Amino acid sequence: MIRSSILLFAALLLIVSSPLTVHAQGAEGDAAPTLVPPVLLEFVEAPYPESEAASEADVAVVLQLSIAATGEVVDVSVLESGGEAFDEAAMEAARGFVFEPATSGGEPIPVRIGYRYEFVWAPLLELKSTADFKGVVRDRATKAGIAGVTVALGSGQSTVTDEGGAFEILDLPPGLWTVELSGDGIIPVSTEEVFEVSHVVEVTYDASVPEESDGDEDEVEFEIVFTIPKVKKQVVSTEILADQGRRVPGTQGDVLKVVENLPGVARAAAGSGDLVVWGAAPQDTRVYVDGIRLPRLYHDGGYRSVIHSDLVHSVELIPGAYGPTYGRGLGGLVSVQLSRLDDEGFHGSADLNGIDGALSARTRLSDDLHFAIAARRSHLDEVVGRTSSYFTDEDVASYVPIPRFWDGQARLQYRLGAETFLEVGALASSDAIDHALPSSDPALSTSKTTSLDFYRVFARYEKRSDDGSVVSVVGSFGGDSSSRVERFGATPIELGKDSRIYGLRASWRAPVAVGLMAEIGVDAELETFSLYRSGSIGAPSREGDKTVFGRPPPNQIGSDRWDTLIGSAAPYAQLDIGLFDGRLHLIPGLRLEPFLAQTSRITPDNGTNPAISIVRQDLVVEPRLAARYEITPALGVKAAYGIYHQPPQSEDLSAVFGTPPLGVSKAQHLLLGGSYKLTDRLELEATGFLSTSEGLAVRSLSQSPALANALVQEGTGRSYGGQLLLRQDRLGPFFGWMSYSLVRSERKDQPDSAWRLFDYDQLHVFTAVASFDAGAGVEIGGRFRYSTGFPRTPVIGSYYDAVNDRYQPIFGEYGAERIPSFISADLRVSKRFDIDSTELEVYLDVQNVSNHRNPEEIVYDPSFTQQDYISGFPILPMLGARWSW
Amino acid sequence: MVALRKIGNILALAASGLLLTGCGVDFDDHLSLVEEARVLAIRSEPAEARPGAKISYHALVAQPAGAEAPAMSWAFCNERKPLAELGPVNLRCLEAKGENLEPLGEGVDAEGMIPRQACRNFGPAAPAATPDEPPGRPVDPDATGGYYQPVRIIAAGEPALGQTRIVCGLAGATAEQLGEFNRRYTANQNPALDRVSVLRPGEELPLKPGLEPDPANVVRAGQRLVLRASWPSCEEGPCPGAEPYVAFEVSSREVIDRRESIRVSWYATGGRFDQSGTGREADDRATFTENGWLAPKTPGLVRLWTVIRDDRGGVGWLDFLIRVE
Repeated sequence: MIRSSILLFAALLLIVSSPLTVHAQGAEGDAAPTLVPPVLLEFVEAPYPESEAASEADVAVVLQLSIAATGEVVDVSVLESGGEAFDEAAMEAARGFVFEPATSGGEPIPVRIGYRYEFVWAPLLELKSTADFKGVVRDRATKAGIAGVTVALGSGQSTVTDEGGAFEILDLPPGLWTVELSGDGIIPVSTEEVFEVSHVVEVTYDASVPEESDGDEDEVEFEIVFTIPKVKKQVVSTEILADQGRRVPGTQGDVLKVVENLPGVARAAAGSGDLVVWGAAPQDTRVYVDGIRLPRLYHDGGYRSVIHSDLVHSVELIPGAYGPTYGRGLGGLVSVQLSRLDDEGFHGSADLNGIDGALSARTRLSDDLHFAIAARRSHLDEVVGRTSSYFTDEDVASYVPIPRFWDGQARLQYRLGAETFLEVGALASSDAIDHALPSSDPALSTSKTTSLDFYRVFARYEKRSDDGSVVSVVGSFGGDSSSRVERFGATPIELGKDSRIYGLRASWRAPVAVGLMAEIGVDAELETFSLYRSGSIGAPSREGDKTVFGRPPPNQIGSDRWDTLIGSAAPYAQLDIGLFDGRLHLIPGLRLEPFLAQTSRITPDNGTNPAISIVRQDLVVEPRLAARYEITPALGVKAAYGIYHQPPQSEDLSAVFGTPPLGVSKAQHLLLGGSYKLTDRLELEATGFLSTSEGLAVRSLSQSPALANALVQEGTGRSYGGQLLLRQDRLGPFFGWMSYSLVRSERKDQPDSAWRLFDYDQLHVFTAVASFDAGAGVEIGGRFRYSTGFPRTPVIGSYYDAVNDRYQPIFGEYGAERIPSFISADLRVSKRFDIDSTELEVYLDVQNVSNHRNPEEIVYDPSFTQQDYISGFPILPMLGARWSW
Repeated sequence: MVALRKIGNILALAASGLLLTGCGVDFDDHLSLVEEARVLAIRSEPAEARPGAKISYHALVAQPAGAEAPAMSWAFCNERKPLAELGPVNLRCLEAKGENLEPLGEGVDAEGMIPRQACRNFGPAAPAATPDEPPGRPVDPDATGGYYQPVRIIAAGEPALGQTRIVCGLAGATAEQLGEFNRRYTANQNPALDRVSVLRPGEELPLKPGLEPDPANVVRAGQRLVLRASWPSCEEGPCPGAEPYVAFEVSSREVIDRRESIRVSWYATGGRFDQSGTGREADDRATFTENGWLAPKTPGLVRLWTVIRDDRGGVGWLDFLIRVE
């Protein structure tokens, strides 16, 4: 079948020369008026006449167009015929042209011009289920093509650039593929492109090739000059590639720490490592690594993530309104993608700094088998222990809470086919903190020991077929073990939790029609818990408690031991409907999730009553809808809505400290936004959002709560605000972004109570990150952060507790004061040295270079008559080195 | 140790070993300095009583020499506190009047009868049942297994809180455990200080209690002293020292043998103590505790109080008049 050809662009014969006639008004005086030809503003494509399709000929028709002073085409005639059918088609199209009128002396004038309209025959492009990839690799300085560069795709296809630097790869399976450029004398670099069915991705990669005698360590640097806009998997998300993330100041080279700098994320209290996204509680934001849920993203203290950066391909933060692939969380989502193991040879790195040391290695065991392993261990406690003798005689390490942690990952990836992989792997992490503050007063003696260990073992199968479909199955199991043993005077606090977690995530995604991508899957998770808790019900404190830092917990103690099972298997489906040539994407989704929660005791153990378990089932339907519309290639708008549910925390299902029959909590996310590309690589994105939640577990406010009913699901919440992100992708030596979030987060503890500020409310958060490659292997980066302080409840008085010989605070309005704002500027300088075929990077990461005193918490004297602040980091330099090969 | 606590406070927040420069807070600990009339302790006699039992109270009100004794009013508070209240009592207990406040009188001393509903309001008995409602939640015991009836004082307009340990039985114990507990448990007795002495090399010089000047109670201006507070050794209860007792431990659900810990609080109208409180843990069998005191630099009379507390709510004290020369 033959399709009408496209024009060939207008050969604008124009102007005053013959055979054109220009009716120009003469200008007064001797000076000839300045004549400006008309400019075609709107071109109309003429269809290739079906009656002439058999000719398969390229035909031209020369027209004469009469253009009014308004720019409108008022008359069309044929100067040179191409045949009747072609003439009619060309004339019909030309009548629809719109011009910017010709001018004489600045005044619009009517003109007649000649216009060559060409018809080029081409066979009808078949609707393909694949994509094509074309481009050129050029020398950035001379713009000349570079021959012999290998362009390899993650799909397994590859080609080599021709003499002009051009390349072409056809019939790619759609999806997100890595693009690797390599060649003689070139340091391999990679990027990613998104390929859609029936679309051609055209790119230009510019490479700067230094002069041979330069001796610069940076032999070749590639820069992606232009790529088509990437199809985002989520309406609002920020994805950072690993190579970029580790260069961000303040991360000390840890890719995943970049999440703290992304829009929508509140600045966590120093050392907490909490992730507060769009005003949601930290436990409401879920962390996944290749679809496997982890209990935390950061080690204690927030210094390091739990995954070695060398194994990370990218990290994506989705603050809300995500699709049906994920659930079980009221807040945001952090999704870490592990890198594909396809290295040739043996690669790895060794990293050493004041906090920890880390090693990683990746190697090819055979053509189809790759292996990677990484591990990290902290030595901060030893560093502090050894250096503390210089400033104190005391053994600081035994008194202060210095985090001790390690983590390790191992992966074995086997290529079953060109695009079929099987991977097995394991992740493990361990954290512990001990400290004690002895006192000559038994009531003031405190000690605390916390630990959290977890592991995951997983198997992942992925197959990409030629028809563009992708099948992915990830099964995992693992265990979490956490412990908190605390003593404040005579009041003990003990909380132990052991859990086993089983996960299965399977999906099938494929283009089912032109512009229509479908995905169905199931996301199942089952977690069994064995918990023990003893001590004060007031410790640890809950969100909404009126308390102050350092306040002893209530001295009434209880004890409970219980088992809990929480699970769900959620089938989901999602369509990605591309309309108007893919400019509009409608992404409806649906997730159906039957929750099951079983708790071993519905009433406290009084020594005689039997343990009666309770089973609760909640079936929830979660519609999700997202839409993106590309108004112009530079301007897009978006909107999304979704319903989310979260099962209760296992700690809250105690018959003594909580309420065993607690059900699921619910949230709704709504967002609207848009993005505008100021340049090819500079984009401004704005998003407004509203998140509401209900059924939140809060403490019972009753003076006589029912037995086993310490918590009630009467809490509601709302967060609303907006965020701006101005992001400059790497442009030559520079990349960076600025983000600003304006978020208000509030809670109600009872339906009829007034809204109060959420403990994690942080109204303003501004972050600016920039990195500059100064050449010669030197990179300089800076980060500036400003954020509003968290709200706190002021103490407005006190009374004397003669039994415990201490003053007790009397509180004012909840959340009526704030910790002062946080301001910090950080700097990172690194220098890379090439040593044979390896690279040594020495870096200095300086936090709070201005040594600004940042209050982190409000504290009171024992009688609550004086108030002051505990400050965070002073200027904090951290020197480290990373050797990679 | 102060430096370590300061660092610890910072690092408890930051969980960091790197904050080794001064970023913390160093409040002036002035709790030991009595500059105006203050309630320092509230003693109930007996120290532990059943609901319905007669009880008497005495408040230790410290005040600088020459100051007038403040007006005081007493009341039982019968209002339970919600679980969301992390303080020791419902804040309504601190009000001057209220539906659940049971007045006990005015002055330094008061008498009354432990409310009969005390074990239901503040003990292991479930709150009064409401029709069509599930049974209520009993109050948890403290670490010693005790429950307490709040008593409120308002002295010079400022509220203060006392509590009396009440005998209520056990929650969650078997009949055998309850029997053993009742057979072996001895009600708490208020502790008492044997003496407070000044330690000098090779000798211990007791101060003479009371408000009369005494040659034994003379120190030099600006002199630094080490004071020792001693209490009786106690092998079995009841006794005025660190008593042994049995308790039903909620975590192990067993009747276990324990011993009281002892705290001593130090107060004076002048000078400066090293610590506002010292003491001995339960597993420490020593019968004394020591504290440093820097006498005022100007001569004059200084009142000094030492208050001894056991962890079952018992209280005792001694007061002294020190001449600074």
